[in-house]
Amino acid sequence: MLNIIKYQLKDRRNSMLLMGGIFLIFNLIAFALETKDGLLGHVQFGPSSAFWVGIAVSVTIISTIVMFYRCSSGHVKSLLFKDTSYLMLTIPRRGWEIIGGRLIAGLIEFLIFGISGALLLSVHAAFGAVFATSGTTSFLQALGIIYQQIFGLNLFSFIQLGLIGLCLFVSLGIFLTFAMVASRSFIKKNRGLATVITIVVFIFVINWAVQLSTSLSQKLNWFAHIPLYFNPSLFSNAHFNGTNLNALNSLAVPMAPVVFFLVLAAVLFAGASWLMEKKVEL
Amino acid sequence: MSIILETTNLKKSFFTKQALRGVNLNLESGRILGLMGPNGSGKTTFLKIIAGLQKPSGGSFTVCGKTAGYETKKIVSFLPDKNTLYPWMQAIDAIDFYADFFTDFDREKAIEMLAFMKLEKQERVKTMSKGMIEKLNLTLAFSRKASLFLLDEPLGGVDPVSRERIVSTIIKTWTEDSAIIISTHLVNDVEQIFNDVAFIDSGELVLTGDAEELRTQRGKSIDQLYLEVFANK
Repeated sequence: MLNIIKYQLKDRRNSMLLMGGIFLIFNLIAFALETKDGLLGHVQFGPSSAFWVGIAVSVTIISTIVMFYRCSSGHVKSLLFKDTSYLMLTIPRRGWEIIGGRLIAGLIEFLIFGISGALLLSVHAAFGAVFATSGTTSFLQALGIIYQQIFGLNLFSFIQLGLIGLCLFVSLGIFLTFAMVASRSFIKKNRGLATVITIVVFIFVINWAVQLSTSLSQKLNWFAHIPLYFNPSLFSNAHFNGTNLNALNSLAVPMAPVVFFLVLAAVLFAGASWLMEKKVEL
Repeated sequence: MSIILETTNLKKSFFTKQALRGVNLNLESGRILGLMGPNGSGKTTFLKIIAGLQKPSGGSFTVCGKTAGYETKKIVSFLPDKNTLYPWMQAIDAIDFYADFFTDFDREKAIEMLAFMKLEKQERVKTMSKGMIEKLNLTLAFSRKASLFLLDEPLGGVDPVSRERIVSTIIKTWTEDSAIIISTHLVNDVEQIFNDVAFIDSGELVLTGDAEELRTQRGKSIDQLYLEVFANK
């Protein structure tokens, strides 16, 4: 499986560099304008920097969301519809190794995007904090406070949310993979039809799973209450001293869908692996 | 001699179209079989089924006594009629890929064969011509110590010099304990290396036999026989 991961990441390398380059260009322009505003002593974003920060933040967030879906399925579409599929389907590897390897590679790829995106957004947030405190908080202080809010005050909540995110990533990825592999197994030639069926199956499975598991959560009253702390002094011209803490909110996450998604994902993973070995044809 | 490939009533249909109509074929070790037929006769479908890329609709096959699937992929080396290598790969990356996935892959032999084929290790697949890709794929396929080699149109679209090199490689790779199936239209270029021939038409074998015996019995070359069999089809 390690080799599957290795070659999948190599295959994705150029796309990752391209996407990373786009991220970087937009954000560097925005950073440059934010720095200029800061050096000129402005207390808010200038029109030009506001525009570019908006663009950069939108590109970063939208691309990350798109990559969430694309990476979660391990880019399985390219495994099923390209000539390079011959390579993967003639190597002596089990279906679960191929699908699992690509899923892990997709997770690594998404983490690279996600962490890069989060770092870039934190820099914008730090600039925002500098302006919001009329420059009484330096950029580095603001950046430090942001990371302290996340990793200091909310570390446990951050880990919990990260694990739930991981469960969702894996589950959605396997649902998508199953839908694609299943449609490819039974529709040999018509790629368009296979894609339409993939989308229909995917929507059906997700919709059904969400409805069922949410009502289950409500019946069992099974929610994880994740506290989120916030230090308001950052935005009130006072420096962070670690004492002025408020639990801003408590996030109630229904747990039944998470567990249900994981169980369903395990079943669909086995199904997709079987179909990959026994039914998929090129 | 042992049986490398045995197919029993192998069938394949795509909806209403029957691509293979019960193919029965035995191939012994040390033999090179020429699988010949016009476009759409079922050659590629046959090879794809043996390679594990398609599943038979009926019948069965074994390679070295092993039934189709994971185990046969370990001992079958397939050269498809199209480029399947990732465009980002350099020739050396493709060699590393095969070395990573096939335990029977001989990396040293591949490096030697690459030089024989006059290919550069650092040349990228996306910048290679059709002939160069064909030679690289052949290098990869023949650097395995597989029991069965399947070559789908290995000479299609390559220049005469490259063709000569490819044929030489096939001859050099031939061993007593493996078998080779070559599907081709270019009968004249390779008929001298065939031990056995199988003519396939509309998914059925219409003529099979020992190449030399057929030449002697019919007083014709395989190329002439091909024309005779398929001229009126």
